[in-house]
Amino acid sequence: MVAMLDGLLVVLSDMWLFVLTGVLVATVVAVIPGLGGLFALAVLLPFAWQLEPLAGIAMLMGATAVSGTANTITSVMFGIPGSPGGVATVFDGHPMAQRGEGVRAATAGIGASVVGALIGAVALAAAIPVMRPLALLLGPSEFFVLIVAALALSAVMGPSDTLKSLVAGGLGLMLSFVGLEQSTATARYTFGQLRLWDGIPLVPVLIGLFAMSEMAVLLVRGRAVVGDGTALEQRGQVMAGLRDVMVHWRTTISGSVTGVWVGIAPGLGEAASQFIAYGQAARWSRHPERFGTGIVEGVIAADAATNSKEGGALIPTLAFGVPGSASMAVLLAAFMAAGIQPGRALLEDDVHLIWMLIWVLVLGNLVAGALALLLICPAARLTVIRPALLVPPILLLSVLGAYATNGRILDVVIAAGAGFVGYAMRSFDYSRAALLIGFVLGAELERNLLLATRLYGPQFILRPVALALAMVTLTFVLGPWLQRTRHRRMTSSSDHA
Amino acid sequence: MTTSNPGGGPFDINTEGTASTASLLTAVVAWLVAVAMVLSALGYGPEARRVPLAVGVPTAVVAGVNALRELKAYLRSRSFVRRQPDRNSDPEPGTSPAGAFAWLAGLVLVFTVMGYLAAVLTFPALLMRFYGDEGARTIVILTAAVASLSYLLLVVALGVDVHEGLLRPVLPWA
Repeated sequence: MVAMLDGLLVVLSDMWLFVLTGVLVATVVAVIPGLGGLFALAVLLPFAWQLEPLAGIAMLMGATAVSGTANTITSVMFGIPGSPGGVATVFDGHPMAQRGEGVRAATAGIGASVVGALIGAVALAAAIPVMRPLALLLGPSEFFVLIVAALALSAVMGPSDTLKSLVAGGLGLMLSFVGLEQSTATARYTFGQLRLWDGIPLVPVLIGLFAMSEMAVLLVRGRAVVGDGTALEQRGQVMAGLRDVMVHWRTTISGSVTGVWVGIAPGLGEAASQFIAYGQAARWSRHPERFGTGIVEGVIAADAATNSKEGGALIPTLAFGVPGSASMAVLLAAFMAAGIQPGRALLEDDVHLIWMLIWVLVLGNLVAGALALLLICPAARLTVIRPALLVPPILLLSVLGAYATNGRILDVVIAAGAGFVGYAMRSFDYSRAALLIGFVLGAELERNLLLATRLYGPQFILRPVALALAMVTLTFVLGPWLQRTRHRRMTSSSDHA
Repeated sequence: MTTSNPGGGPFDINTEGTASTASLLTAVVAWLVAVAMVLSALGYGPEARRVPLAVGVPTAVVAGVNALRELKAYLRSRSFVRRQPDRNSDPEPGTSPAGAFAWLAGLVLVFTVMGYLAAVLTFPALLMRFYGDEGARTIVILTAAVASLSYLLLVVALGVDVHEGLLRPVLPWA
């Protein structure tokens, strides 16, 4: 109880400005198609690095917490998802907009997002007592398996090509080995460069992979993503949308709970949470045949899952230091940079920090919801800005951000290189999220593998909890593959028939 | 093979069941990087090379399989294109990927050599003029806005030591 109040006091007294900054940036960025929460994190991270550690974490958490809220606007109004987490919203939201019910659909989606985030925060709060004994149960062998599971699941379950995502994850891990090896002080992959002894810095890599590559895409595309924005001129349906969230409360809650579960499972991501919640709502609906034709329940189910996922995803991130998504990997890196080690120590000594994050989730979403409702029309006009006007400030900010972190020109060059790599990965369906997760988790994977082999020898994998986790992971990894193979066989046999 | 194609140009691999030279090249480069990292790891001591090898060998194998798959798709696409030479593709109205990265390289070069002030005053103006064909008024207003906002945010609010480059001796605040 004391920790809970402590967390609230910290947010309200010292951190509110930073949370608000994160919320504002993420809300504005989410309105621009293609630029999701990760882009907002990439832009904010160098500046968060300059702040006090807690303030930086509050700002990043504020941005992460609300990345799915304003996303709804472009998904509904233009049928263009701001990020993968807005795809399922398009199915029913855009047909509603075409019928002239765009504002109602967007309001319902935003309302459901806020309710979902609150449910996610409650789930995280409820998990605190359970997380501590769980974290105590896990040692290096189990953490090693969990990290491998996070990587494998992000590759298999993610939206990109599985094989290419595995390559990206593996290369991300290999890149994390650049620098001085801790136990023997061996310089690895440094090519004799002293500057690389500390490894490749995260911030320039993140800026290049997610911000610079997106700007390159805009330059190549050469046109604003949407037309003239006339669909935004309608108002007066806000109350109807909010009423929809309350009338369809079962859909709101079931979508939110699904989002929490999907968030807990590493690697499933925001798109998966939306699709699973959407599919479930359609199955349980009295009129499933109307899903996809412009039904408000479809929008509510999809959007409720988007933000509730963040609360769920924080559970493995905080309890075990295993992020389930790229945005959680960035948050984890921020924790580590601030000297906060997730896991046992965090759960025992810094519970107020977890409560601070929960309050950021709650308050950030309330603010973002109100903002998104107020800004539905003006904010969505950002989508019609020409690349010639949008790209220069963002690219400049990216270059300055890459430099500002350590004051090194080398970091700007690394960011530009990562931008090129990110563009190629985006073009050819390699998962940038898998690469980032591997890059962030590489050092932990190595530490836990070395510790586990020293403590238990090569048979460390046979320890009961580690083995059970490995089996569960294998089931998740092989399940979809087996299903696809069976489906392919059935299709080919029916073709022959 | 499913691929997304935001850019077009030489990276255009929209055609179902085909792959481009760039896609094949990317897969080969990924494989070569993985192999090179494995070979480098062989030179380290037993403790330092254990995990890089444990990760690198499977990565190199998977990257090799991926490269072979891309090669197969590439060869198939070549015969497909030969059979259907008149297939149309919509050109993007922007620049080519090489053009986009030339702009980025230019920005990095100006920032590295001349510093923040030169970059913030020239890059937006040049991009707007030569890429976007914008008018003089728009260019002046946006350049001034970007320069002043970035200065306020970075230097005033966050106290970041921006890179001054070759202009350092002539800047009064440097």
